Amino acid sequence: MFAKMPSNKVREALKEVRFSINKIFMLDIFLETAIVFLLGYLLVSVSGLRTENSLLVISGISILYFIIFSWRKIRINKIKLVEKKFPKLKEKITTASDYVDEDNDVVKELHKEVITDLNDVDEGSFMQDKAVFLKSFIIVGICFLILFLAPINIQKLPIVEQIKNIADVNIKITPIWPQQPEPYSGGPSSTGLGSSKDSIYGQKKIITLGNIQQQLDLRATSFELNVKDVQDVEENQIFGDAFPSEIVAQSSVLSEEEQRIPKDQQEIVKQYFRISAEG
Amino acid sequence: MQNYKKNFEELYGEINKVIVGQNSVVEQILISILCDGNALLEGYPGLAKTLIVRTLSQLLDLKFSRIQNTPDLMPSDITGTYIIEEQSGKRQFKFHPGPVFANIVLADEINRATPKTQSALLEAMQEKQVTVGNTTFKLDLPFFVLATQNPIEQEGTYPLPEAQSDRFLLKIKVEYPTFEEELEIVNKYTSDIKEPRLRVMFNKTTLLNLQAHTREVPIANELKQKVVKLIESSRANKEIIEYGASPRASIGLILASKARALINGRNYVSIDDIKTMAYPVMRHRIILNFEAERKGMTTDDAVKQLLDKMK
Repeated sequence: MFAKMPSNKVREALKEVRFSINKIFMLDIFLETAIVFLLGYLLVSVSGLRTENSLLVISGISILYFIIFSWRKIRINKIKLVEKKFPKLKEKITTASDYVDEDNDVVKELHKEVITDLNDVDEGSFMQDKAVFLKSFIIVGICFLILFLAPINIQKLPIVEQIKNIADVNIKITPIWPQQPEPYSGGPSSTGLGSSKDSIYGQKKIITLGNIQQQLDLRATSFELNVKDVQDVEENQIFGDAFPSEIVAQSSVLSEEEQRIPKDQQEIVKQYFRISAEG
Repeated sequence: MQNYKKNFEELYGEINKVIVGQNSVVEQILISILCDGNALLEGYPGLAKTLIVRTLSQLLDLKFSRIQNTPDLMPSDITGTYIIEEQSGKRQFKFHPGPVFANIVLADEINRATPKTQSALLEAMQEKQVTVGNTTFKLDLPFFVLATQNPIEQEGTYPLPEAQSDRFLLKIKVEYPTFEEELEIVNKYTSDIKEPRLRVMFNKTTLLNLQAHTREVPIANELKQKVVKLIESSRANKEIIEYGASPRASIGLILASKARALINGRNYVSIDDIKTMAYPVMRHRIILNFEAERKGMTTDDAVKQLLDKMK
């Protein structure tokens, strides 16, 4: 490991010892950080929380992990580590390290001995082969899992649906935040204004949603309605020339209408105009 | 360093020609010599304390003298005194050096001497010089005092005050030999009358160089801190210790550990050196409290407790 000493001095030998062990530590921490990041990524992907913010959080956690554990490992006394691993060097390297600037015959001899002994120290002995293999294996495994799950809409998997349902039920039972108005669910109402069947205006609180930019999908009519574009109903439009005072339906047209528009929808439209006319 | 180890192994080999066992005692005496310190040997009579010291002085090619301490021993009996001498019809005082003027001084049963005489000897070993009248005489270096004391027969003795025993770097316990060792001793000293021929292993210069090298042996900062914490904990632990060890103990422990590393051919101090040397360095510097003594604890037990707590 330390066979090629740059200048055969104990100071450089000790520096190389520290550097070599730090390299091994860094590799170990890098693998652990990769596992933390990939696990986080997998978790947010599976839970359907994969957003830019969640990825930033995961990256932050990974970086924090790397910094904290690197700091902890760097602070470990590498000389002690070598001495622990090689009992014949116990106290020898520490002493040589403490007397690195000393210049007497005994210390010189000690320095020579330490350099010779360090030649026998194998860098590989500090590498935990099994742990490194296991960590690498875990990384590869998680990567494959992420790739495998990528084309699958995991949200649509029955088991995930079930879990979500259970979660929803739990949330309804024990709400921990103030209850919000029920958003448009694309339910039986085809007006696109909530689930109210009685009024075309729906509830007032639904109207207030007009301030928020939303995109609603009206499945029944297959067109998109931007709530932002919805404006207050103008009387002129209703009572002006836009609409005839009387609606006369021709039978042929009616029959055509009847064929195209379902009965219940026709009834709603009629009701709308009736209410509008009554003011 | 490996050369030192080889030399010391040869030295042990030579000592073993005379002494059976007691390797740790020999090692600790050598450590004391390498640290330029003094040692207090404590053991029962007949455990070859004097023989070890005498043999070592022969192997190290050092001048050896022995002082048998008794209550009537005067300081001048140790340091030397002026005597009137007639030279070419003129009478003049001439200094007659005492037994302290040697490289290795064995002060046998030091606790039998009066405090005044003990002080004279302790001053010599501390200052490495002797003052007689108005004249100060430098002692020849290297200079070591190896004092012995008997743990039994306390009647008529003057136990060394703590302040004075602190000046000894090590307090070495001389234990009884094992059964096998004793058998070998019996065989050796009841069959062969001839005294073995000893080879001089080190001379004064080598010894002084070794002392310098001992101080150069590096010790990791972490271990230094452990030593200081250990000594500090002896002062802080009031549960069993009345008075803890002084900073002199910290210095002594680090030096002794360095010397042990050198003897074992290592160019750095290990925690084992510290743990081994903590006992001889600290055992005479700790005073147990009444509660600990009531429980039958020894200072070695206290040191062990402190070492166990040391992380």
